[in-house]
Parts: sequence; C-alpha cells; structure tokens
Amino acid sequence: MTREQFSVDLHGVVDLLSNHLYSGPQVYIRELLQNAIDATSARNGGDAGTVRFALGEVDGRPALHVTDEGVGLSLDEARSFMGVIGRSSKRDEIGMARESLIGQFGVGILSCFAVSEQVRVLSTSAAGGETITWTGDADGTWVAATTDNAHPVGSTVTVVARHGEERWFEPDTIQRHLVRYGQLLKTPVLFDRDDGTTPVLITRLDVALRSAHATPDELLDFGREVLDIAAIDAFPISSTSSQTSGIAYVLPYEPAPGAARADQVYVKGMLVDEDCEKLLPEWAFFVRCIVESDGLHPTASREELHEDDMLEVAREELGQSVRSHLMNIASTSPNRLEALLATHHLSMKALAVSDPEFCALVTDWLPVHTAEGYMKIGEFRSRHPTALYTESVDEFRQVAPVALAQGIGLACGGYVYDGELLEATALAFDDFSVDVAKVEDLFRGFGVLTDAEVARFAALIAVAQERLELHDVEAALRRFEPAETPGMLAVSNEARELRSLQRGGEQANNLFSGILGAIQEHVPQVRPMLCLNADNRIIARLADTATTDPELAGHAIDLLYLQALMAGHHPFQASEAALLNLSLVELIDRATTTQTRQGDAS
Amino acid sequence: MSTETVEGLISSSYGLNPRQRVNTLVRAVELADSQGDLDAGFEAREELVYASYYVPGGVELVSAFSWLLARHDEDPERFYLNLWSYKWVVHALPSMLAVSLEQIEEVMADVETRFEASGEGPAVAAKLRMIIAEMTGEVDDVRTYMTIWREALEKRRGWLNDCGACDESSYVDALLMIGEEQQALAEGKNLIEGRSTCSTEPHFTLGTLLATARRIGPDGLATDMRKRGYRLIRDDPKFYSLVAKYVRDSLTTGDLNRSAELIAKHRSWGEVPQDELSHYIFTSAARRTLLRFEHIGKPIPNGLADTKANGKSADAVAKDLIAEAERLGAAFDARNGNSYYTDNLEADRVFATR
Repeated sequence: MTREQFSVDLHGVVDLLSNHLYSGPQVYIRELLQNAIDATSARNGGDAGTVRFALGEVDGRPALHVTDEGVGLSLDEARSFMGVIGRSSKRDEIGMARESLIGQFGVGILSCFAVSEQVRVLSTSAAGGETITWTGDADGTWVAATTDNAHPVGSTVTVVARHGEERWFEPDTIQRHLVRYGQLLKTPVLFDRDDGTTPVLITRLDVALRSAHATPDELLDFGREVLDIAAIDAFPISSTSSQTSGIAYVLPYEPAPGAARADQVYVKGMLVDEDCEKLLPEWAFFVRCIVESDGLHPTASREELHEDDMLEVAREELGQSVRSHLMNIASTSPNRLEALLATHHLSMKALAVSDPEFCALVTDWLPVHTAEGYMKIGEFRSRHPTALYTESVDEFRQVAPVALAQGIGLACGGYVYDGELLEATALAFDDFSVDVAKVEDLFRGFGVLTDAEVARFAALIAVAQERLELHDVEAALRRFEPAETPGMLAVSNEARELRSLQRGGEQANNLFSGILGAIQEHVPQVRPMLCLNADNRIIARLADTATTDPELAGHAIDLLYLQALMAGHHPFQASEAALLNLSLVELIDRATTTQTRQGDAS
Repeated sequence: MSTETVEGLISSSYGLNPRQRVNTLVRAVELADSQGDLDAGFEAREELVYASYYVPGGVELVSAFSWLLARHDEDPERFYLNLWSYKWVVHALPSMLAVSLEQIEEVMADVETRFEASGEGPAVAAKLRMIIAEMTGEVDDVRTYMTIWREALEKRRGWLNDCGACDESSYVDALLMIGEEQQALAEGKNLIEGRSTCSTEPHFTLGTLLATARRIGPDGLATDMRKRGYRLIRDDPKFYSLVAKYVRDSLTTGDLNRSAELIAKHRSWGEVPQDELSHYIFTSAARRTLLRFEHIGKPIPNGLADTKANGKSADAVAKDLIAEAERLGAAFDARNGNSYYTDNLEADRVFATR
C-alpha cells in the first residue's frame, strides 16, 4: 500500500492564519520583522546588524522590501525551510537555542500571502556560497535557484501588494505597525517610507523602561507615549524567575471592579499582547504596566501569553513588586500614598484584607463610613479603640444616629471590603478591637426602665404590642439618645431572612412551601423590633393617652412604626401603605374633631 | 421615603462581593414585592438565584427559586424559567438538615418531569440523583446512578448538562465514593494538569483527589496539587468544605501544626451562613486533627482561641468543633437513615488515635 501525502490548499491555510489565528492581515508586517530579527540574532546574537524596511514598487505595484544582515540562506536551506509549511526555524540547524529566538513556528512567511500574490527572497548565507533567490506564489508553488545578482550576507524579502490590498502598504500603516510591534527591539530597525524623507528609526534606543536611573518624569513620559495614560505615579516592577521587568503606572481614575486589564507585554523586544489581562493579580487593578520578558511564552498566534506555570510565577512576583512599592511609599512617602489612595482606595482595601503586613501599613489612610461621617481608619480607631461595625448598609442606617448620640464607635461594614478590613485592622493592632454590631443587641443594651417607669408605660406597651403584632414586629421600650427620636426599628439580617422565608413559603407551590417551612423552623426565630424611646416627649405623652384613649395611641403607634420603616429605608408592603393612609386620616379626623369641639365650646 | 429602585439596586449589586451582592438583591426583591411589581420581582429573584450560587448556604437560593417556579407555573408565557438553576437547588437541598429525604425525592420527581418536558435526556437527572446519593451516603446508589448517567451521557449531551470540566469532576467524585481510586486519579488527569478548566475547576478536583494522589499518585503530584489547589480556594468562603481536604492532608503528612493553622484560619468561615453538610465536612476534618493532638498529649495551639475579647480558649474551641462534627454527623445519619457519616467519624477517630 502506498502512503499518500495530504494536499494542502495554501489559500485555505492563509485564510486560516489571517482570519482565525492572527488578528488581521497587518500581522504580515510583524512576521517579516520577526523573521528578520531571528536571522540577525542567529548571526550576531542580536548585537549587531540593522533591519531595514523600505517601501518601493515592483512592476508598478506597491512593494515592501525587508533587508536584514542576518544568517541568510543557502540554496538547500531555502528549499528545505521555505518550501515546507510548519518546519521549525532554520536557526535550529545552526545551533541557536529555540528559546533565544522570538519566532519558532516557521509559518510566519505565509502570512504575507494574505496581502500578496508573491513573496521573493534574495539571500546570501553567512556560511558562504552563492546568492540565491526563492520565489513563492499564493497558489502554493515556489521556485529556488542560485543567482548572479549580488547580495551581502543576509536576506531581502520582497512582498508585492495584491490588487485590493494596497492599504496594507501605505507608509503610515506600515510605520504604525512597525512601531507598535517593534519599538522595544534591541536590534535597530529603520523604515524608508519612499516619500523622500529620511528613513525613520523605529526602535527606541534610549528606553526609560530599561534604565535603572530613569527619573519618575521620564517614566511618566514613556507611559504617556506608549500607553497613552497620564498616570499619577510610575514605578519599576520585576519578576526574576520569569526574566520579566517593566514599569507599573498608577491609573488616574478608578476602573470599575472587574473591568478587563490591558497591560502591554513584549517578549524579547517584540509586542505580544497590548491588552493582556493575565499578567498582574486581580487586586492590582489600579495599575497598568508595560513589561518586557525573556521568559514568558507566547501562544502560537504570538498575540497573547500562554497560561502556564511561568506566567503564574510572573504574576505572583510582579504582584509582589507592586506590593513592595506600596509598602515602601507607605513608610517613606505617606503623601505619595495618600494621593494614590484618594483614587484607588478600593484596590488598596482589597489588598489590605488579604495581606496582614500591608494592612498594618496602609489601613490608617483608608476611609470607612462611620456614624460620624467618612473617616480614615486611623482616626476612627484612635477615637474608638473598641468599635462596632454593621454587616449591612441597612443595619448601619438604622443604628448610626443612635450610635452617634451615644458616642459608640460604629462603622458600616456593608460596603465592599469594609467589614473584612476592620477585622483585619483589629488583628493588626493590639490597641484596637471591633465586633459585629447586632442591631437587636444594640437596642437591648439601651437604658432599661425602672419598675415605676415600666408601670407608667404599661398601657402604652400593651397597645404597641397589640398593634405591632399585626406586622409580626416586637415592641420594646428603652431610654436612648437622641431624645428627639421617638422610636427605632431594628431588623437584623436573621429577621430579614426569616421574613423572606415566610413570604417565600406563602407564595411557593405546595412542594416548596413545605421545604421552606421546614427550613424556617431551623433558622433563628428573630423578629424585627420597634424600640420606643422613653426619653422622647411624644412617647411620654402617649403613655397617658394609652390609658385615656387607647385607640388614638394605637394610631400613633402605627405611624411611629411606619416612620421608623421610612427612617430605616425599608420598603412598605402593600398593607403598610394602606395603614399609612388609614392612620393619617384617623389622626386628622381626631385632630379636626377636637378643634371643632373646642370651637363649639368657646 | 427611599428613592431606591429595583433596577438601581440590581445594577449596583454587580460591583459588590458575593455576600454583599446577595444582601443587595434581597433588598431589591423586598422593594419589588412592596410595589406589587411581579416582573421586577421575577427579575430581581433571577439575579438573586445566580448571585446565591456564589455564596455558601443556600437558603436564599431555595427561597428565591421557589418563588420563580410558582410564578412560572402560574403564567409560563410571561415568566420564563431557566431550568439550569433548578440543578443548583437540588445540589443545595441534601446539605440542609431541615429538608427530609421525602422532600428531596419529591423535588427530584418534579425535576425529572420538567426536564423531560423540556426535551432533555435522562443524563442530567441521573447525575443529580448520583450527587444526592453521594451527599446522603448511599454508596450503592452512587454506583447505580453513575452508570446510568455515563451511559446516557454517551448517547446524548443535552443543553442542561454541566460543562465538560464539571462532569469530569463529578465522575471523579463518584469513583472516589465507590472506592475506585486508581480510576479516579486517571479520570482526573486532565483536570489536575489544567487541560480541562472552568470557574470551579480544577479547584474542586485538586482537593478531592489530594488524599488519593498522596496515597497512590506519582512522586510530587500530591505536593503540587496541594500547592495549586489551596491557592485557588484559600480566599473564598464558598470553598469552606474543600479546606477540609487540606486540613486532612496536613495531618496525613504529619504536619500537625499546619493542620491546626488551617483550622484556625478558616473556622471563621463557619460563622457566615454555611450549609450544614459543608460545616460537617470542615468540622469533621478539624476533629480528626484535634483528636490527634489529644491522643499524643500535645497542647492545642493558641491560634485556635477566639480573638475577640472574652473569647473562648483554644481548648474550648477544639471541644466545640469536635462536638459539632459529632452532632452533625449523627443528625445527617438520622435524616439519611444510614450510618455513613458516623462510620467516617469512627474511621477518623481510629486514624487519630493509632
């Protein structure tokens, strides 16, 4: 049986590469650059040689010539390596380690056929021998031969524009992509635009990125130019294990949590990803960075990084770099840290929560919402060495006025990271402790009444218990500041959960009604509590009214309950909205009737 | 009066951490209900169901889903029910001691009817039954439903099937439950090596296969799994039960102090609403380590003590954890009508005191 070989449709392969593997036809510029750099590195270890891109014409068509002073090709090498799709780089054959090269896949030249019908190579091998030509066509045929045309050691690749693809040969387009892909290459790259101007040097020979002595301004300028951001701070970062180093820029705005990162990654000087999401830990969303690496591995498309162990190590070490910088400025330049926190306190909180050492350094500058207003934790803990925090914003709203009036240190732990941050702060400092404020506990701790007072308010309490029972709310009477507040409603998370289960059970089908009922019996049986304030003058008066006119006192209790609901931002149920209407009408009726009687009497 | 809107609360919930997101969505549900707006209530509860999946516990999930189910049954045209989340409910129920086996069975019957009516094959329901059997300690049922599930899956993969990585992970769990460790390790290879991933994998498999890798895996595998696995779960209370695997592994490798450190570090996760089965899994692992301390006469590390003022001593905390594991184990066995969890507790005691 004879073995047959696959027939490969080159057009299909090119389509596959340019439409599926690569991000677009412009990639041919990168691949040409890549091949030229590989060839130069193979000959000189990257220390010498210049790569020249030049626009021109061939047979009246726009053409791009790329000349390198690299290792060149012999006729055998051209036949062997340029005519077989997917064969590894020729540089392997002459002893270059694969890792020292940028490109490794041997298919890059095919990307030229996305914009051209023909690719021509003129080359002289560094190993000696005659100059050769290799011409490949988009139909998959190629021819290689020696030639009398002279060419110095190295190669010139010529790509002629296909009809309809001229836009990829515009000088501005080529220059833009050359800068994009190759500005950090160490091998000089020149571009002749063929418009009478001096060839442009694409590579940045004096790169702030690589200078240990670059000033902060130079780093910021570089970021402005390359990342197009006006960062508020910049600092070097590095990962030794992955041979990666670069600059982190502190964003001048707070990105939305979960927003995609967009770091720029260069591998061996060539752009691999300009929207990399994987390079830094999630918590570092306040910086964007530019890094170059000799150790990270691009995927086959060379347009993103391979998610492997090396990238994981790099992510951890680069994150460590960012953290070290923050710790350094926390102890040496608090003003610089404060400027950063003004914009990025969320990110800092995220880091502080998971890192005790960092927490101890920065927590005092981080703001939290307290009963006394927004305050830095440092100030909060110096005012209140023993403090409380609520687990939800709702609970905070309920008890903040009371805590304020009574001098209790209360913070809201219901915002992102704040509860955990306060706990972490308490662990970091021996002279500060926090506990979760349970609303009902706080209310129960209010001033207890004497027996005589209890007797005086007994009728009111009885009325309140009767009225509030209809809403499944407990009534209590305490003494608390501020005296202007007649009553407060405490709805703990447990009470809320129980209510939710009760409502769910009532509205579920039979199957789930039973299940919710069973669960309900297992959760704490906590009811909301309306705590009336014995120090309030209205409540004091109502104590008497409850004896003489229990019905009027009942309407007043209804309204106090509804007012407490509103004060705590609790939505009204339909029955409560109806009650508001009814109670108001009743009270107005009572008030106007009394006035009429008084008028009649006079 | 509050100026909050249901839409506004839903939008603002997206940037919050999972627990805060659930709390905000509970508020959105209350608001929609107070306005008598069924459509807004449906939308808010759909969001709540998704958000609840990312927090431990399950009460909010079951409560919100049951409401969605009832509204869908009343008016299927108006209220489209995403059956996918019904699977989460089934996962949650056996973890709650309050829910009886009969109720779980009734729910499964309902699931099977609805899945079949939607054109789904038998694979998903068989997998759910297999998972229920795992959670209720019915080893023979695990074997039976695992076979039905795998055969059905080969014939047809429906739209309600879990992702490939989750299916591989569930297969590994079932194989471990029926004692096929060698095969479990082989089937979990793709997950362990990172070739098969999703939002919860390899988080689970690196933990569930850790003890097996330690016993029969190649050199270095368990150590590598431990390093990678713990890193994935160490900051998320949803993985409370998985921490148990690392507590156990530390004891197995003789690192008693590390095992106690893990207990001390993660036991506060038990204070947030957790389902009772996760709580049993964590406390039973803690019990195994703490019994070991007791057996060899080594003092319980102070790190286990309560950090709050007037908190319990390390010894008192250890005592509580041991008692809690035993209480929960007995309660689950009473509910399940078998001795699976108490047998495991006894095996742990034997290990700790050998």
